[in-house]
Amino acid sequence: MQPNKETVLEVSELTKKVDRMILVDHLNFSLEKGDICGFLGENGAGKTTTLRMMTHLIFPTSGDVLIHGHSIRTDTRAALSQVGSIIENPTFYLSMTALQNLRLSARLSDQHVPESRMMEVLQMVNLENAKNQKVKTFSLGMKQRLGFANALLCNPSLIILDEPTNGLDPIGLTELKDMVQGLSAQGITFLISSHMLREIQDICNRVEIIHKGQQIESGYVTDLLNQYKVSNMEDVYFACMGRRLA
Amino acid sequence: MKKIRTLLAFEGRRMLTSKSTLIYVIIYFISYIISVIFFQLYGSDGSVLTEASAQSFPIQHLQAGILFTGTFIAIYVAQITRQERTQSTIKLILLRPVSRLQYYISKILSIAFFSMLLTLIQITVGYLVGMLFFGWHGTLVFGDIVTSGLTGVGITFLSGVAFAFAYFAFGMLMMLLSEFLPRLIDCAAVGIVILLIGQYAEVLPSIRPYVLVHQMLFFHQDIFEMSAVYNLRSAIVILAYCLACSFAGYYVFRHEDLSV
Repeated sequence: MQPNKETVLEVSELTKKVDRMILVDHLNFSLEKGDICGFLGENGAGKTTTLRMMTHLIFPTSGDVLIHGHSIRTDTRAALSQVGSIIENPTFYLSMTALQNLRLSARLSDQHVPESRMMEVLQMVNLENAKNQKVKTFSLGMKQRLGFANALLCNPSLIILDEPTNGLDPIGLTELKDMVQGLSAQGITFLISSHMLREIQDICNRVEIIHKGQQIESGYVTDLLNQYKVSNMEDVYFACMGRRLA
Repeated sequence: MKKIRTLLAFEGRRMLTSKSTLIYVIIYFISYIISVIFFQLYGSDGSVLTEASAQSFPIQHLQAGILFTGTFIAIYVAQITRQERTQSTIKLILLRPVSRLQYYISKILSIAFFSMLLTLIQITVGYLVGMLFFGWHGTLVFGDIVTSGLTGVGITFLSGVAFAFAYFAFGMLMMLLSEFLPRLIDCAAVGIVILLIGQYAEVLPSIRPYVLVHQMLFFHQDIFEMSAVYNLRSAIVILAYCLACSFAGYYVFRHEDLSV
């Protein structure tokens, strides 16, 4: 049993249809403060579509997303002001430096973000020496780290990361895990989508698993591993799929 | 307002420091030199120039640059709209608490500034080339206007403002069309086609005052030659294009799924 904590994210009957295809089908879940939730599923399951709806890049067909009680549909600004995110690939203006991109991003937030905070987040992701380099010279891993720095920039309470392990080497993965768990201990909530089940298992304390837009399992990692009597999330996933097909 | 200012400042810096802007300056410079060469070889029959004077040079070349200027505007609009989708940089902005309205307004204002910048570039390069080849002596001759000195400069810049207004409306039309065109090259191509076809409206006197290309060709000239009522109608036509295209474009953008 987990103690009651503040609900940071609430997804309620979230649905996305395009033409006659249902990409996301009545998703329901919520995250509490400090949760690190893995949003898992195979390629094409609807993960990125869901995250795009959460960040108002695309519009739900029905349902809603509440972030600290603010609806992403009707109170978008208040909802997004508490969110930092990487959706699909982090993208920046390639002709600008890392610091210039962060500066632009900071000026578009609702709060004052001092230069010291920009330096702080660059240090957290080991990019302080590359701050004056143009982003077009960055490797994929460096762009991923800059994306993470951008997500942290405005001290969000909810961070949404879409496939954050792309392009990261094993050291980068370890650093990501340590950073996420350290920030979670400070009360920041994470929603991390991935199809790399084993990697996410090491980072997350709970998971939501979707398949073809539908939620097929959710819960705390330890509870699910006990429930399915397996040692890793891959086996949980296959067990869910097997149960689904049965 | 702060976010619109931030986005506008960002676009302004990009506008002023981009290679594209430098290329446009060079293209105008080269085309004006070619005009000078043709004038010197064939007189006013071979060029838009009627007066060999730096005072007349910029204003007499404004209309002649319709294809260049219109294309540059179409490309710029595509760069700040369509390219932001294809390169996904729109995410950097819209994942912050920036409303789509704020984003769209910043683009409208950027297009307005770009129209004015292009006009200023044409006038400045025109004066520069005119001074290099003809000097400041002589008069400004523009339609029925014959004047000189600071009055001529004032008339040139006033004409430029009218010119920029009409091209801003073209930019708004391109911004609406960019919502439906997948790539930058498509926007540029459509812009050129509109400019070419729109000129044929000149053969239809009843409709040509309502065709945007007619206003792009003549509004900056008509403000000195036509009546106040005529010019008011022209201004309303241009404004109507601006408003209709901006509202329609925003409606489409506001409801657009950005799968970037």
